[in-house]
Amino acid sequence: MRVVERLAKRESTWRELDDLLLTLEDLKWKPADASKVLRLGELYRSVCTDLMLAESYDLPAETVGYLHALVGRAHNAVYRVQGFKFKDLAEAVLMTAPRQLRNDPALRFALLIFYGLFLLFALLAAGRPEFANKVVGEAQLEQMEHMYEIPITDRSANSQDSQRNDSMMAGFYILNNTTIGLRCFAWGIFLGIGSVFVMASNAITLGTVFGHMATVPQAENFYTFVTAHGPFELTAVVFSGAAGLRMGWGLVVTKGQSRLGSLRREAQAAMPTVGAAVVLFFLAAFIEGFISASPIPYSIKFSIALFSTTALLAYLLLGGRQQAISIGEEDA
Amino acid sequence: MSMSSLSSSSELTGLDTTIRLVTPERIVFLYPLAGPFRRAIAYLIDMILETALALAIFVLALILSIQTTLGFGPALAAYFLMLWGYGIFWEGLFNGRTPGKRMFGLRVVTEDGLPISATQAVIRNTVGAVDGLIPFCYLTGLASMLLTNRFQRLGDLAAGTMVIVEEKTWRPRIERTDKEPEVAALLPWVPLRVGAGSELSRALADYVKVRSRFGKARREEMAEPLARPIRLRYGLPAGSTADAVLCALYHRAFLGE
Repeated sequence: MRVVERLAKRESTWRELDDLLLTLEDLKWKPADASKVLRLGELYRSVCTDLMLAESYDLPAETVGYLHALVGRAHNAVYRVQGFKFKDLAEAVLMTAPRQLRNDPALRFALLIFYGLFLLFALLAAGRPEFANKVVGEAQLEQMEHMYEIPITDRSANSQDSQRNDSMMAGFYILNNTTIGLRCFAWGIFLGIGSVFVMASNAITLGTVFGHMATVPQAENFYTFVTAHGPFELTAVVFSGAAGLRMGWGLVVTKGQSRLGSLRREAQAAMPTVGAAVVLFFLAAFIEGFISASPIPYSIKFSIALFSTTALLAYLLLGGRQQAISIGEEDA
Repeated sequence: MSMSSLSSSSELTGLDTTIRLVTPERIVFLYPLAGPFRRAIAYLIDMILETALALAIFVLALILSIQTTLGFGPALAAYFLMLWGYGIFWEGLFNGRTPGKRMFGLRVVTEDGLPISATQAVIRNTVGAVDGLIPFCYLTGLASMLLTNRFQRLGDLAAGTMVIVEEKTWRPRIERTDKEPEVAALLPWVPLRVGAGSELSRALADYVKVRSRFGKARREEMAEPLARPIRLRYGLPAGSTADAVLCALYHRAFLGE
């Protein structure tokens, strides 16, 4: 058979597949018709055969190139992204993340760096008068002092004003804090050093401010404000740092895989922790926006802090243990 | 580029930036990889879209905040979702393509050429934050792309993904040369059925495809080495141009009559 005859014979199939792919590639939420999907499979297989035989048919290089592109497009239409399932996301954050974090040296290291530096700088700033000025700068400290001059309970005087601040600030905390957290994770790709840097710089700034605020008259207002959301927000930073450290450590200790393969494995393994950190940042932002800034009594704010600390401990110690517990109950 | 891609066909695929993929249908096909410049243009389109979206969010927030006092909080949260979720949303739900990539025929696939998973979309876009670090202005990503043999930026490396070009090429056609008087004059000498063999067929097809771009003298220079043995084999007139000889043989090999 002549090449031109062969091409003429096959061309209608290629044209049909081409057109079908164009319609399937359109942005649509609805899944395609069953008949179209069936036809796609048939056409895809037959074009695959054409490509396989292209060389023995002496097809021109250009036609072979065209077939490669056509098969490639059809392949990507047949084998598709599976998308997100809410159940998988929930399971990753609620079950997989705590299971991994319990045995994760990266989490212990991150806790040590963050809370170690936090406490150290808080004590130094509280104990030495000039220390805080040197670390965070006078201008920022004055701004902080100014922010907490009025007791939070008095802010309710102008209710409309405080309401606007609440919603706006919650949105701002989501944007600002979660971005810091995700960046802290991403920087972990530089052997984990980036994550350590972000955690350390945040711990130093926060610790110094906490220590300094204890020495000024606005101390009560400040601590009343930070109590409720503190546990979630600080732990969220630690979680993002732990995820980044885990990914960076994958480049160092490869467990017998290639460096890149190891990085990939650890990046994948760090994802549930990143998800948990994002959830914590969101929760903290809502508490910070709507509860910390509101004039409700300190006892409620304190019990929220107590509750969230307990919840975090329970999450870390008991999360994802379901199956083991149910087996234990059966035995008993 | 793996060794096997060189051995499978007589073509030298090693010089091109192509990726070889074996499908479940036992078919081997090639993907061209997308280099930094193609991707930069697609990225620019996405940036423009993101900026437009951000503007829309803030205009909406402004309108909302006229009536109630709630407007800006949700807007900031929406801005966060757009900032970090744009790539994840499009690549994770629409088969590895953001609008910019769709416009320029690019697609994110795994290193094996398969569709990416949702987790990979998240990793590639989250870790990808370091590719555009502010003081280095995308140099981290660019350096990484130039140093890896699949043009991967750091986000791609962590997720195990790459970006390929999905070309919509035009259906090629067989050239008609038999209307040219010189070629038509030669056709009676060449037998109706020519078993050219795959290598000669490819050479003829390549030559006929590009000949229109060259002048007369250049065509002769290119065609002469191949035309000389053909003239001898079929007893073509010695005065015939090499260009016409190859066109006549091409016509017989691909079209027959």
